[in-house]
Amino acid sequence: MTCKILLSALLIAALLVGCGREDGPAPSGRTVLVGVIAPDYGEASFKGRRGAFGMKQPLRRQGLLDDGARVVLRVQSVRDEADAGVAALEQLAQEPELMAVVSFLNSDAMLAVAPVAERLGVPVLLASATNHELIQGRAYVSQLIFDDRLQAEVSALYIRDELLFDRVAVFADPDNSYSRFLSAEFTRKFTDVGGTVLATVEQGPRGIDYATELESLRSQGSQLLYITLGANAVEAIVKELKAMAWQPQILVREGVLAQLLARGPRPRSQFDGILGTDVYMDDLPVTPAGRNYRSLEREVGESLDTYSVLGYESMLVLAAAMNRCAGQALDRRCVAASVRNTRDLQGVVGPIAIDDNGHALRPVVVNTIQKGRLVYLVRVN
Amino acid sequence: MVAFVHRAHFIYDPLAHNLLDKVRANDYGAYIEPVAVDAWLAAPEAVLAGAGHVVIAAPLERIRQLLLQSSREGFSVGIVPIAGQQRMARALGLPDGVDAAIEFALRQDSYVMDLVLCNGQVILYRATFGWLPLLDEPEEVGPLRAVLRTLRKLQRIRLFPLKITTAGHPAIRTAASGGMLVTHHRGTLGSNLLKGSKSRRDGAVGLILTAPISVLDYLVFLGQIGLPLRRGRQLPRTIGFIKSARLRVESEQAFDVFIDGARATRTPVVCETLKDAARVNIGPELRDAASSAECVKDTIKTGNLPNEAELLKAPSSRLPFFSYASEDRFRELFVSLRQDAQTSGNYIALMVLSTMLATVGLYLDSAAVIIGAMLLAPLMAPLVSVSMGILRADDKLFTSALKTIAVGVVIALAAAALTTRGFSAKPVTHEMLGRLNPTLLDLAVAVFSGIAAAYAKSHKEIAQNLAGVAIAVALVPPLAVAGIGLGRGDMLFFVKAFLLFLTNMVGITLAAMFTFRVIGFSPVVRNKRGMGVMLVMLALISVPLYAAYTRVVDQILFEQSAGHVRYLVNGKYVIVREAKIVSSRGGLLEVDAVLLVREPLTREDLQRLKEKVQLFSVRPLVVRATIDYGL
Repeated sequence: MTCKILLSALLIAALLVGCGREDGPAPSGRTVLVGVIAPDYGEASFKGRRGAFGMKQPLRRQGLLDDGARVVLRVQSVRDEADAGVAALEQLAQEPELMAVVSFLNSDAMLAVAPVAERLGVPVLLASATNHELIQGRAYVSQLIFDDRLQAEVSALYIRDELLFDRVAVFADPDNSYSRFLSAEFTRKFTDVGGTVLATVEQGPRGIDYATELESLRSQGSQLLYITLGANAVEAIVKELKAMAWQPQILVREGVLAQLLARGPRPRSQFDGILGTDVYMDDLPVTPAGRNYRSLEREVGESLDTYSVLGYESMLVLAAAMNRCAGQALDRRCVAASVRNTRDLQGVVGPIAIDDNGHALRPVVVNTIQKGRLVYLVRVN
Repeated sequence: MVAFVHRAHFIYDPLAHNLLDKVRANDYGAYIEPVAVDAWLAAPEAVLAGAGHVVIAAPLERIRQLLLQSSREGFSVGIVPIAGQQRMARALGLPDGVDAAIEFALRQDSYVMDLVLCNGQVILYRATFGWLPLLDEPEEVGPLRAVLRTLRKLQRIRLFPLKITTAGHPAIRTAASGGMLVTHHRGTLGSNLLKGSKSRRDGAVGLILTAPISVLDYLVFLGQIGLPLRRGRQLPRTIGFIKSARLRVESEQAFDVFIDGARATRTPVVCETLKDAARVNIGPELRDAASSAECVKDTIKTGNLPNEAELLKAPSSRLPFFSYASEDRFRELFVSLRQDAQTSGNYIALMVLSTMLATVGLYLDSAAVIIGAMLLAPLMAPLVSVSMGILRADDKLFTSALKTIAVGVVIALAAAALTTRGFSAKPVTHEMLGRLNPTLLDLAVAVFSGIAAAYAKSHKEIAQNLAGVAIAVALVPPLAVAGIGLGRGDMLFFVKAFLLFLTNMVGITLAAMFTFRVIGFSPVVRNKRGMGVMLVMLALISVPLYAAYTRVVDQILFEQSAGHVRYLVNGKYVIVREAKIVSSRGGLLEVDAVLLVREPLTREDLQRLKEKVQLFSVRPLVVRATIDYGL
């Protein structure tokens, strides 16, 4: 009797396990390549390494497209510079099976790479370059991350409507197209909604005299500093503010908060209270796709971060785009068009859409640092 | 001023050979005559002829032998403990450390004390027989091994009949799992349990008998020894104590008797006291306590041990983990439970009144009135009776209590439905809504209430707290809401509220059964079928409760995260200040939200906002928004 009961239980368990398993497509023998241009030198190496890692994760569970073609990643590790990016793209383009490329290069480098991609007819998905000019007038280059216009708009409205500030100062680098555009766009939007930009402090060849500039801003009654510079400049400003015993609110561009916290053995709490825009935060409520990704990361003992999330999502976008082409002709032209037909794809923290112009519609997250760790404040959909 | 002997024999075992030089080179002026154990054993009288004081460092068996010889020949004894004799040292109040022990042993300060002999062998501190897991472990067994051995023995522990004859009383027939013969109480395990004489010269031997009725009972007993929190005059409920100048212990089956941790003899065992038989250097605490003791009066405390009638009902096999109990022991409780199981006029009247009061309170949306109804409701008592009926397979108690509950339920439903029919307006109030979505949390409330109810019922001194239990679990209001559903002709309303009532009923019944079992009201034979039926009911009820629970969790998460969500709509920044799910019927979420925005929202903005809200929602939803232009 006991044996019968045990056997029945085992049978039911086996059936349940069988029911829970979905059969994937049968391999067709065909292979398609997805290229990755991943910076692997200096500070930028973090985004290249984590981005490529994120892209590999969906392939661990389902490495086949719906038509049975196997997806293989081809990673090009390069410097985060224009020449290196162009060379990597040209090399990848020679592969006949290559269907698309995901780039983790910065906006300045991509300004040189994007025309080459257009000329070679290689679909490129930008995972970290936010300059809106990169997609303008191009059919093959699309953005996965939000662009600088959206980032600037969210920053301006957050300052006015959440923080209720109306007098700010902007820090910009006129030699950096990204910083130049972001600060200009922010200034335009903030002024449009009734705010006042008291001054734009520009970084010259010899840097900025922070003490003088900050003293001037304090005397003008600046309530917030909007900084479009990198982590080094933000750290220098924080240090000077401490020396001045002045505590204005600080808002930085995407990715800088994580860089500040990743810098060497210094007290992280010195950055407490700084705000920043981003695409992801650990304590954000995630979608089912996000939960799935978290479980994948846990399997290999890793945790999510901005660039691994962008890598993971870029692979989801490309796989969906290639699957849509699989019924027709799976080629680069189709994939480029199909990427721009991404609608309501479930990303890690919300839906992602890429419009006909290659512009990504996705949430912008406003984070802050509290007690030396990142905490998310709001998600702007 | 401490005086020392001028001359002493030192009997040393080969194990204690290293002490010889130390004792001989003592600083107290004592001349030492060394005697190897073997030499002494070969001719004890001859070797110690004319000895005034003898110091010994040898195994316990030799020490016992020397004490017996000293009782005949009158010399005093000093003991230097060797390795593994900590228990003996503690029992005799000997100091720690070799030097201190030598100094103490050579003092001219011996104390006259009794010797207890069991089957002719001296007890230094205790003798044990039967099943006394952990307590009967030899000294050399390590703590971990002792615990493992105890766990094994606990599975085999059982009671066995005993006949005990004292010097001045008729034979006592009882049962016990084991016994411990003690010479005195200070420094022994018995001292944690027994108050009173600690004398080593009271002319008596003590017998502690353990009679647990379950393994759990025995574990509690061990706890009482280890954590001596109760040191009143009353004995712990699992033990009996007999003290007499002479004790004879007989058992049907012969048991080994362990004297001072070593197997020494078998039952029947006769223990007698040799009054003032030896002079030994023992600790000052023991002497102080002993100075005035003289009486040799029997002490018989066997009220906690099973009597002859109960012996017949006691299982002859191993003890159950939880206690069993006879009706004789808890007559008062069972009489009360039987009364609670009856359908009386008072019960019906209270059911009608409490339900009507609850119904009116629900329509008034008044928590105070509803609490009043909860206090009046008499449903808890028959539910507790049902638990006991199932637990003890008492069909009569179970049927009677179930019938009473069924009558109460029908009355409550009818009263609430009729009251509802009498109202022209039938609003659905918050108090009603709160009883329409039972979750696993409600089951948890019922379980804790059931435990509290059974516990309160079994202790009449806290029975008045049943009112608090009744409020916590609130049996009648869900019934009243179910009745209101019937009165409104809304079956979904009825089913949801009745599910809450069923949740409470099953939760209370199961928890009360478990509590009664742990407390010790379970029968010898368990009612497995009854318990099985209740567990199946619990499983069935848990399915919708779990679904409701996950819904509530989702709702909380949604509402928490909504407070951090903003929308960018055609360049306008929309802050979600508050969002609350008001219903989730058929997969469609209905959300009430408060939005903060600075610029006026046009129809186009609202359309875009609607699209975005839907885009970011996993489920289809309808949002009713209050827009505040207050920035």
